[in-house]
Formats: sequence, C-alpha cells, structure tokens
Amino acid sequence: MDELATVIEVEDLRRSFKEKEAVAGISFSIERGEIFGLLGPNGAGKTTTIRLLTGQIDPDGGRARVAGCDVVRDRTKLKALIGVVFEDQNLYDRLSGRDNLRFSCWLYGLPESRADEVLALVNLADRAKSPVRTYSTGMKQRLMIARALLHKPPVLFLDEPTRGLDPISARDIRGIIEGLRQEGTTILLTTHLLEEADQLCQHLGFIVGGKLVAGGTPRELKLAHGKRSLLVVAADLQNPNRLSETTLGMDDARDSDRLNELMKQGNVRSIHSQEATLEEVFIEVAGIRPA
Amino acid sequence: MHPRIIWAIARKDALDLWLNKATLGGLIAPIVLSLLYLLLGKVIGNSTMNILVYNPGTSNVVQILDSFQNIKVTQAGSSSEVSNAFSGVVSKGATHYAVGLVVPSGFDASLVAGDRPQLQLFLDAKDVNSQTRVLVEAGIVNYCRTVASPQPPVDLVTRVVNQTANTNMASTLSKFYASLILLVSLMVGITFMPQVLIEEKEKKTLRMLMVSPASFADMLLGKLIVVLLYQFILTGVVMAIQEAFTGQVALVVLYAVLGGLFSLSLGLLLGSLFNTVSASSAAIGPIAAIFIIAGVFVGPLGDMLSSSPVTKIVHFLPTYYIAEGVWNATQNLGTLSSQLLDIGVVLGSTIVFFAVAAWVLRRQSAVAASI
Repeated sequence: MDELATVIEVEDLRRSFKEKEAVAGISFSIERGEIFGLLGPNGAGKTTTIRLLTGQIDPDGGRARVAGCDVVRDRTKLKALIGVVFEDQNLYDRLSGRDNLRFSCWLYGLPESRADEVLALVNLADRAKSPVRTYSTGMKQRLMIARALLHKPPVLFLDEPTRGLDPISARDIRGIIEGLRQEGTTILLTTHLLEEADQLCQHLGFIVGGKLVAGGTPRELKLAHGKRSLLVVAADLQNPNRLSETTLGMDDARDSDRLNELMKQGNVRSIHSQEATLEEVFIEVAGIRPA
Repeated sequence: MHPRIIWAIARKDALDLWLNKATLGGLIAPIVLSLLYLLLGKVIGNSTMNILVYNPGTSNVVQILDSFQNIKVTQAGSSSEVSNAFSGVVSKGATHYAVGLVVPSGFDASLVAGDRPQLQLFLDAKDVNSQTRVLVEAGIVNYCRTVASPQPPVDLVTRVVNQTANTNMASTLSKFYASLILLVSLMVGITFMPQVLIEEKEKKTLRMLMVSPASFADMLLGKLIVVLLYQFILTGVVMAIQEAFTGQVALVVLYAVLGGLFSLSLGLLLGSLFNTVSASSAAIGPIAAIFIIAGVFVGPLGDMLSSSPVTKIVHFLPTYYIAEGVWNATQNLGTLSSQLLDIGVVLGSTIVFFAVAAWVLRRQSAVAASI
C-alpha cells in the first residue's frame, strides 16, 4: 500500500438492482493523498459506488481495487484499510460517544485510549460521556468521522459528510477533511454541495444515471464547460462615473478589435474571464439542477 | 469467526440492552413479579399444617412427614384420638388436622418379622392434594423397604376425608403461579433477540459492522451469546426467588435451559423476518401471549380445562411442553415417557426454529446490502 501512487482504481464497474442499473460501467482512479469528489443528483449511483468500493455489495461486472485490495476477493484485508462515514447517522444512540468508539476499538483490537485520542481530534472530548442521542447533528457527524478514523485507515469514504449541517458545523467538518488530506489520507467524497467540492477536491467526477459523464480537476471542468468570453467593465465616454459591462468572445476577431479599442480609450476598469461555475458544469452535464 | 470480535459485539449489546429502558423493564418485570408473589406467599401461605401422630413405638416412619412444610406435629394419646379427629365429628374449637398417622407399637420389628403390621394414614383433602398423597404413601413404602427390603410387608390403610372439597387450592395455585412466572422469565429470547438484531438493521449500524472486521456470523453469535446470558441470569434469579430448585432439580434446570434456547431460536427467527422494531413488536405481543397461555393448560388449571377443545389445540404448541415439563419437574410428577415427550418436542422445535432462521438469514445473505 505504501508504494502505491494510485490508491483507488475502478474499471467498468457495474451493479444493478432488479431492473435498474445503479452503476453502469464507471471507471476512474484516485491518487494517494487526493480528495476525489463524486457529484451527481439523487439516485445517480454515488452511494452504490461507495458500497461497491467498500465491499458492502458485490459488483455485477468490472473490477475495482482499493489500497491494493480487490474489493471482492480481498474483502477481509480491505476492511482494515478503509474508514467509512455513512450517509445515515448510524450510531448507537443509547451509548455514549466514548462507548461507541470503545466498541470500534474492541472490533479492531485497538487500545481504548485511542477512542479518547480521536474524540479530542474532533473536539468531542468534553461530551465523551454523554449519550449520543443528546448530540446535535453536527456532533454526531464528527463522531462518525472519529469512528472512521479510529484505526488510522489510509483510505476514507465520506458519503455526504456535511449533509444537513449548519454552516459552522459544515466548516468544522471540511477543516477535518482537509487536515486528513494533508496527512496523506486518500478520500473519496460524495456531496451535493458544489462549493464544498470546489473547495476540497483535487479531482471531481460527475455521475448521472450510473455513468460517469464528466471528470477532471475543478478548474479543468470549469474551463471545459464555461464560455470562452471576457466581461469588460469600462467607463462611459460621456459620463466617466457611469460604468458599462460588455461581454467579448475570446475566439471572435471583431471582439478582439473591440477590446483593443476599449483599452486604447483608457476607460477599462476591469476584465474578468467568464469560466463556468461548478453548478453550471453540473447543469450542463447532468441536464438538471443539483438538489 | 473471531472470538475477539464476537466478544466485542456481545459486550456492546450487553451494555446497550442495559441502557435500554424497555428491555431493562422486561428484565426486571419477572423479578418483581417473583418477589411480589414471594411476599404474598409469605403473607397468605404462612398457615401451619397440623399433624396428629400416634406412634407409641417411636418408629422413624414419621420422618416421611418432613416432606411437608410449616408443620406442627402433635402426639396423640391413642389411635382412636387420631381416627376421631378425622371422623368428621369434631367439636367446636378443636384443632383441625390435615394429616394423621397411626403407627402400631413395635412397627419396625413387626416389619422385619414379616408380620404385616397395619399403618393407618389419615388425610384431609382440603389440605392435601392427590399428588402429595401419592408422595406420602410412596415415602412410607420406601421407608418400609429400608427396614425390610425388598418387599415391605406393610398393610397401609389410607383414609381420605373431605374428598369432594377443593384440594388445598391455595397451595397448588401458589406452585402453579410460580411456574407461570418461570415461563415469563423464559421470554427474554423472544423479546431481546429480535430487538438487538432488528435495531442493527433499522438504525443501519449493521452497515458499519459490515465494513468493520466483523462478519455477519460474528455479529449473530455475539448477539446470541449475550441474549442467552441475560436469559439464564434472569431465569436463575427467578428460580432462586421462587425456590424452584426443588423436585427433580436436574430436570428443572434442563427445562430452563431448553426453554431459554427455544425462546432464543424463536427470537432469532423473528429478528430475521422483520426489519423494523415496531413491526416485530406487533408480532412478539401475540407470540408472548401464546407462550404464557400454554402455561395455563398445565397443572391444576390444566386438570380443570382438560375436556376443553382449546386444550387439544394447545397441545400443538411447543410452549405447552415447556410449561408441562417445568410443572412436572418442579412437582416431582411426570413419567419417563412424558418427560421424553416434553424434552423431545421442545428440543425438536428449537432445532427447527434455528434451522428456519438460518435459512432465512442465508437467503438474506446480502442483508447488509438490502437495508
């Protein structure tokens, strides 16, 4: 695992539920220490992809390797190398936060002191002894991340980690995720929040109807799907206090001349390239607005 | 299977069940019932049984009367005093006797000599039931065997008065309710097993377990162990309170173990069939009622209801055989064939339920994925 540059390799992965093809032959790879964002509308196949890659369900076709383990053949070995934060807050709510983590320590054969270490890491040490049912949504989410980190897995799967959180809690979670990446953890993240994906992820994949319809770095995607144009803000010749906006195409010779003319007049106040936002990319590739 | 992981799951479930007010109530209820019944028994059933004995030769045969509890033995001056006490003509204010015994002088020596001495036993059916009568008679015969084995040349004459009276109903019902509470304690498996299994599915913590080093088999075994442990502890406590370690103690313990395993297998089946606690609770209610109702059809109430058609239907329920086995074992009743039938039905049903549950769980091999 230590020598692997590519930590997650997915080739033509497929999975159907009855008539519906939830994952329809997707391929992608994730490098070590990278956050890969899997974006898509509800029911696109994001969670099924995570369940396939974490060995919860078997694929119908294709292959996938995570941390050097085949997700079907090396399932037992794989379990020790991955941490999963689920879409649902699946905690034992009668137990305290500490007892939830102690249980995971027992499962992984870790000393119980590790529970206190990770509780401190996610700022829950002061509520360690409280029953989980008394936690806020954000605290539960931090506890789930703590549980996933307990055995120091080199690969983390985060399914909608900030869903339903207030902005402050979401920011805290993003801070933890970014910290993990800096420590070298490879992360596959699904989210509906395109700004979050833009902020956190080095690579993105857009999944629609079980198919990966677009992929690349956030910048590549924005450039590939944005308009090749400039927004020029210039002062009016008659009234310099009045500003006007002009959109000029980058591939149009006439617009090039127009830009030169404005520059010569000395009235240009600012020029902005008009790259697409991730939301615009999403709408374009998915044909629908994000949820 | 990994012992460390199974133990981890058992520890977690033990703690979780303890913190769950509903299951904790289920654990405490049979203990409270037992204590309550014990208290009532002390208050109501504390009457002393008077025994009148004429034993001029001080034969040790009177030791068989030790099988009665709370007795007060009065020595009679003559055999006629004993027979008069059971003649039905008792003067006002005179002591009421439940048992009378007339042992002729030189009884033991006569036995040895083979003189066939006569021993008169008087019983009042209001205080002594038919099972106790059989026990006392058997005790006397056994005593005679120890003196003049193998064939005791004794002429045992038993006279029962007040035959038509309800035979010491309070005492018999007391034992009956005690065994019914024991049955209640055996329901831990039916109620706890679905709870611990279904909650993992409903709260989706099963998904977490399935990406941990635990296998589905580890998870099931951990849960079976902890529920069985709670089952045995509760049944043990209830049995101790009810003083149920009497009669055929080994059989009582065997039925407690078999009953616990039966309950566990049924609970596992319910846990495998349902995916929500509310749905399983709807099923557990009637099943628990059937479990208890079967207990009504054994013992004294069973005798009264023996001609009822419902009794015949109840005989198709495995729980009836647990109830019958427990009752017979605690009361020193039952024959080898009836015990074998009870054990066979309970054990067979347990195996069938475990097999069906295993089959259902195997069919749900992708259970973690299906929820």
